Amino acid sequence: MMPLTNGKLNIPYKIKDISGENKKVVRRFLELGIIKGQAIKILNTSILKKVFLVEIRGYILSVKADLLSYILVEKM
Amino acid sequence: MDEILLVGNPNSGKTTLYNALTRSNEHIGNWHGVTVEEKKKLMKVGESNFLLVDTPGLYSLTPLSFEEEVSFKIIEKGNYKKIINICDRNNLQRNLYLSLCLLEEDLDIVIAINEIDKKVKFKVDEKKLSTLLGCDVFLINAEKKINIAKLKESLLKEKKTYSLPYLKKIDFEKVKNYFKNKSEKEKQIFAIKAYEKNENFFKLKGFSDEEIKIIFSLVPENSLEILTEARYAFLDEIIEKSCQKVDFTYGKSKLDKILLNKYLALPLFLVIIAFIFFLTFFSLGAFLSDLLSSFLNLLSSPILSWLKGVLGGNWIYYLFSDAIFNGLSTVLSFLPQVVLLFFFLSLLEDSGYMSRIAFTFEDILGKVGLSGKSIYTLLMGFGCSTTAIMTARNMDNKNSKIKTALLCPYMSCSAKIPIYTVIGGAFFGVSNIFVIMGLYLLGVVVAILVSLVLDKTILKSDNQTFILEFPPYRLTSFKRLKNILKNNVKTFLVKVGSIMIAMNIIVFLLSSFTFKLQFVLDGSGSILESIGKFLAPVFEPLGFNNWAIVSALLAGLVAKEVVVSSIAMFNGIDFNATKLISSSILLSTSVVYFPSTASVLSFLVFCLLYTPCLASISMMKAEIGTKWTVIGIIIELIVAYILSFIVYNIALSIEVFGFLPTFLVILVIILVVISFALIYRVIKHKKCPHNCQNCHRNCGK
Repeated sequence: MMPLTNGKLNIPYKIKDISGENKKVVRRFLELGIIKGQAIKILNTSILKKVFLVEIRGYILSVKADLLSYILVEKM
Repeated sequence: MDEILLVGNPNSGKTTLYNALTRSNEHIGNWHGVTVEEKKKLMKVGESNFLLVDTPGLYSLTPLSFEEEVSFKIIEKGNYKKIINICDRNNLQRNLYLSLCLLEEDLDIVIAINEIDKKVKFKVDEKKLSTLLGCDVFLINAEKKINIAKLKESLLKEKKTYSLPYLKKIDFEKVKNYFKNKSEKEKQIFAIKAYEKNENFFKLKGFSDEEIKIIFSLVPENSLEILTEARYAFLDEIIEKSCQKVDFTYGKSKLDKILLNKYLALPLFLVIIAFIFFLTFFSLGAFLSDLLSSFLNLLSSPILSWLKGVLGGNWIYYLFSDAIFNGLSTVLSFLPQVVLLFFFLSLLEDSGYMSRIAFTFEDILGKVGLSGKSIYTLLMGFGCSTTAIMTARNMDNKNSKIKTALLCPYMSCSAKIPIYTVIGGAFFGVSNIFVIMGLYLLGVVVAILVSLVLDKTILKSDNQTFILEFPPYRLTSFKRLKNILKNNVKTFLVKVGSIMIAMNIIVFLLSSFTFKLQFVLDGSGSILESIGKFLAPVFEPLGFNNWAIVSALLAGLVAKEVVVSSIAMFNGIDFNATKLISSSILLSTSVVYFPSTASVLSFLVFCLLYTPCLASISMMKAEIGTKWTVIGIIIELIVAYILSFIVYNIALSIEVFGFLPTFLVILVIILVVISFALIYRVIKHKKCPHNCQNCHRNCGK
């Protein structure tokens, strides 16, 4: 298990857990369909790798790296 | 009159449907937070009349941002007949999550699935979906008004009974027992809200913090996860049964390989913005403005001659000729440029590129305490500060919202175009292109610096979140292009015809009459001259202590365009020389006087940075409160004064001593400041109680 921010581009990962300090963000992740067992893929990162583009449930989200590290994943 | 709510995810087409249902022309865009406040308008359904309420987008009934809170409160207030829940067909599952939240509260809803894109990516069987959810479901196209009549008819129907089987799998009994005195329906809703750990809901229903704590202790720790997983499992099931899925990712585009390329994204954005400014100010825009200016001159000359014949040379004639004709036609000739700027900004907004810009800028803006989302508000600031300030509601952090709203006025708004073009064009001729670009850039740099200072002092941005959905790229339809042009022309003309006429008349009367109410033609001894002369010494260090210029600045507090119309009124502008040529536009008869080009630059910088117009100030007050509005105005005045002073002295030094000596002096000053800063750092660290003399930046104790 690793934070999604350590993942590689265009490789699908399976979400194992979502936890972090900011409970509002965890809530928003869940509401957006980022839940355990779901597949997630990194599509791109910004130049300083502070923001990531991820594909989840057939749509794209841009998320700050420190928030994305709340999502723990493993290879599918 | 009964109200009907229009509710849905951000960027699902709510306002497009609102426009279709009410025959309105409200502002829309391809960005997640274009609507930030509720809008109401009459909607006819057969013989019945309803008030249709457009609400800001939200993902669920637990608000995280300010605009979501607006919608949440409207929904929970419950004073309405029905809800139209609009969902984007191409991202249906995520959109239906909100529908489930509404159905769980047993609200009377009808689902409208909006087919935004022409290409069918995702086929939906509306009847099957309706059976599975228990409520009416319609496939519509809000833009082309397809199935709108069917949707309207359904609003008159009685509420249905919903079937949400996944709720039966969750054990709500323990928490339900807490709400003994409530009805069975209320018990169920309150239990779901307890599982959601929805503090906003319970606070709105009048529960105390202590009670909320007890309620939340009655549900499992991971209750939200249990509920969300159940909702999504049900959504997976109904999508499987009612939709023909196609392998497609909403918002994915090959264009992003170029526009989001790590090394190309920023240069490409700058090229796009430079191209927009070039078209607006120097090619198409300038050509159209000249054309309109010539037309207005042609039109006003015979009317003025006729008026002079009728009225003679009395003050009423001058009121018409100076305040109304000269003053307004100067500003009116900039109509093409202002409309073009708004037009290009709307195209950017519609295209879906804004979300990409926010992604690209998050790295940079994060460093100065802003969010990538701020870029939308700041770019809109180039159009109009007043509407831009309102979009700061998109921010999900209070400090970010205040900071973004405070920075809007530093973005050079379209009302300042006449000032830069008329005054700058007169003194700098064709080189004015660099002056204007420099002013825009200066506004951005100052905004970044102010944000940095605020972030380190009174507006620290902790826990900044950035979660933003990527919309697909879209081309603007011809109908929408027509609407953008129509709306902006109308807004500009209304502004000219109302606030500017009023201001011009006031400025004319104050500059044409003495305190003894005697008419004076050249402004000498007038009320405005007395006020201007009283304030002029304050501006002496900035290079412009002329009473007429100071008066124009004062008048510009109401609306920035009035600065130029006032100068025109003081008989300042030669209308045959407003083009980009290197001759002065200031007539010899004018009371307006700039002693040097340094003072012109200083004046332009002051106009860029000083207090925004009255409309912006009142919007700021409404959005961020009186305290921050006052702080913002004070900062703007100080920054404008200091920067104008610096610009004036540098420019004057270049005029007198030449470029190289001035550059060397500035270099020495910068080196001295850096040396003092380094010495201060060393002394500070030497005094460190932890004796970490070589701690450099790692001290932090």
